Amino acid sequence: MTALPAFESPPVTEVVVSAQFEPLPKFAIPQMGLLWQRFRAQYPRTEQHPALPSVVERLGIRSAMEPQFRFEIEREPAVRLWFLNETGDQLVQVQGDRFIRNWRRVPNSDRLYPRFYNSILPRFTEDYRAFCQFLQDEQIGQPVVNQIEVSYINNIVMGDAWHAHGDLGRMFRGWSRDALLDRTLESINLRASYFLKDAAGEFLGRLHAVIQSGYRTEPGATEDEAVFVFTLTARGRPLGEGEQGMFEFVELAHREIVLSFAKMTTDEAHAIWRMKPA
Amino acid sequence: MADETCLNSFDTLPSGFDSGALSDFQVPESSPHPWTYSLSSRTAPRWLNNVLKEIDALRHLERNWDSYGAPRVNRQTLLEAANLLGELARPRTPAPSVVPTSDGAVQLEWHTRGIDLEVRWASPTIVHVCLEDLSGVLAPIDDDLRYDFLPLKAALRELTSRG
Repeated sequence: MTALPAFESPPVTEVVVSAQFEPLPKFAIPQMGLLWQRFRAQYPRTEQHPALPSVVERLGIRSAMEPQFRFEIEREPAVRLWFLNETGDQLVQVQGDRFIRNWRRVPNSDRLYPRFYNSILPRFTEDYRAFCQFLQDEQIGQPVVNQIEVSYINNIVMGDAWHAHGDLGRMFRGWSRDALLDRTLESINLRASYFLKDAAGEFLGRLHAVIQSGYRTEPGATEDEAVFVFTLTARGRPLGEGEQGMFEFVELAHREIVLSFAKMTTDEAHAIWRMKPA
Repeated sequence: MADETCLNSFDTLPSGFDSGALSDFQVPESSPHPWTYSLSSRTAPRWLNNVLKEIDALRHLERNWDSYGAPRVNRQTLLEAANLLGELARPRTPAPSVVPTSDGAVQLEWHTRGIDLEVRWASPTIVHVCLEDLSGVLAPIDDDLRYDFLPLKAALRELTSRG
């Protein structure tokens, strides 16, 4: 198996690992409150948000990122509860059909990306198992996972290598600076979706790549900073039964994202992020 | 969502999906109408708006709507049914019947052009498909579909082609 590329200073600002399961009707707001008691020591802060819609990658149906129609359902009491640590860089999200674990980079913090195998995966595993134990203890049921999702969100900040969004080609492969002659690029929003397949060539899910131009305002800054927000999301079904099938997809997803990140960005960008020799 | 999820404020185009990432920018717009749908494609059948309204109407069914203790129809399954129609229906596809079931599911049915096709959402992610083709062109189906909708897509394509 090809060794994964690694970067000393990657531009990643958030990593999400999500397990979606068949709805657990008994896992409602009161039970979420009870769950928080188990997480409270580590995640003392909470927030309440609307629940996310379920998303399934299917063969024969256009990518979940490209709905032909946009339907908006009136708001229901369905809730997504956040458990946050004190510094706000670690987060657990729960709702009736999903368990999500986030790491995010906190502004003005010297905390570096904590690395997938060193921190992100172990912490997801620990918290997910605590969640499952809670469900078992409270006789709510066990999650039957139908989709797993891993997302890496990268903020590629303007610097010496690029000075305007028109310099897209300095950071991303496949984009020519001459694509728009005598025009100033104001904004850009690129999306691509690719099939993910298992070792037997069967459909697993999709890898979604999104490149968006934007501006970032750091606390205390006097000017907005131009950025490219580069998001890679791998979403798909478990690779087998039970927890093992779920974790096998998580590792596959991470691998696909890292390889794609390296392939889609330029050698110039790799030098900025200090790519390590293989 | 940029305001509520980001420590840094961003101004970008919406990403078009919501994965639970704190950096998502898509903000669900509040609307005076519970359902908002726009036909952005020229390949949509003319009956689609009416059928979407029928699906929409199922939201209002209260518990015990059938006098035998039926639960309310799951709203996520309504969304899934609507999105499926939007994705697979074509101008010559016949309109389905929209049927709520006694277990709180929604079913789309076609009984026309020699094809009996029933598509029932057992859950937001599992769809049960029953297919009988009197002409024998399509193999019968009586199965749950979760990740591979190609058989359903093929059935609807055949149904459409006979119009």
